[in-house]
Amino acid sequence: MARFNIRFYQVYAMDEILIKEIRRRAHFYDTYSGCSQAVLLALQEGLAIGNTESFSAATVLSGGVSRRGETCGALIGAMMALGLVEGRRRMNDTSVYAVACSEGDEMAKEFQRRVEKEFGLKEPLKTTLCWDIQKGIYGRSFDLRDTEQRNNFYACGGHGDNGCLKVCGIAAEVAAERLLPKIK
Amino acid sequence: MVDSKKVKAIRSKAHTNENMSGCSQAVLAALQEGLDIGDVQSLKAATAFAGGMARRGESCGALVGALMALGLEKGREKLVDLPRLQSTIADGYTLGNEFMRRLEKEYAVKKPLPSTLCRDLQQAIYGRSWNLADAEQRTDFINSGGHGDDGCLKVCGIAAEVAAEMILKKRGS
Repeated sequence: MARFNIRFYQVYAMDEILIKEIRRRAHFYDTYSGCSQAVLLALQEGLAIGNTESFSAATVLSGGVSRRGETCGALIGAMMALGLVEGRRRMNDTSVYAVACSEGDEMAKEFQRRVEKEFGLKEPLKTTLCWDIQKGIYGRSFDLRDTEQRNNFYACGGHGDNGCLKVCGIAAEVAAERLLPKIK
Repeated sequence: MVDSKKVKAIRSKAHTNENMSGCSQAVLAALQEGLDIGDVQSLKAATAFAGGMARRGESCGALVGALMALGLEKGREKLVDLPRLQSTIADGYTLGNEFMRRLEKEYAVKKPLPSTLCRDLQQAIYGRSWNLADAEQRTDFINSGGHGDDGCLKVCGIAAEVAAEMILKKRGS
């Protein structure tokens, strides 16, 4: 029994280290821009999933889907990792698709809660849209398609350690926590 | 000029695929097959995006599937390749705008679409939106034609068509 417990805590500690490393990498990778790819790459490397194709597919989803301010690209990268772990290989496998959608929704809700907590937001986030997350963090949103507004966003720390980089780290951490037990 | 026969076949396939649910995969599978891009890993990665990201009513899953195809065609393979990221994002933005214009035209919507959020597309097409995460509302959406030939199936066809045209044009074919 004692040996079992030691083994349990060793595995638990290793998982904790791996999850933290995935978060650290996602945070660092976003210094190269492209939140969706930053998160996905950290998860692909850390969980040994996906390939160059899946990574390339995430290219234009950053900044809320091609800088449209819509769904957070970091969350999309995390949800792509979910698809890689337990996604649908064939269109007619509808039961796999339904389960992945439910789990994706749970992951998004957890991401939302974690962003609210880590950024100490005064009000709960209404959605996981990029512009709502910006409003939550900076009290305003920026049109990232507009060069001037994008530069203003950077000047406000949007791409700093307490901006998108942190959001990427949170998305990767939430996904790693949920996906790691599934790949064992 | 692009190969219009090929574009039409891709649109038709995306439309048909959507009968099995999952707009993002319906569009991406049609584009992967028709343009010989991607693989099963990229297809799997698109599983949970239907209904505006896991049925959350956010970004349209059909558009996200189309944008993933653009990433497969000319996306960034290495993080350090920033020029590739910048140029592909600009194309992604153009693709999204063209998707919006095509939806407005084919559905003859009264006002320009404010976004490509699933809930905004529903509002424009049906005059109301549904919470697709709720089983009862999802059933109501389906009963209202949401999953019929003039609903999400058509939206998937449009997204696939716009992406196929853009990619083939860039290939010069």
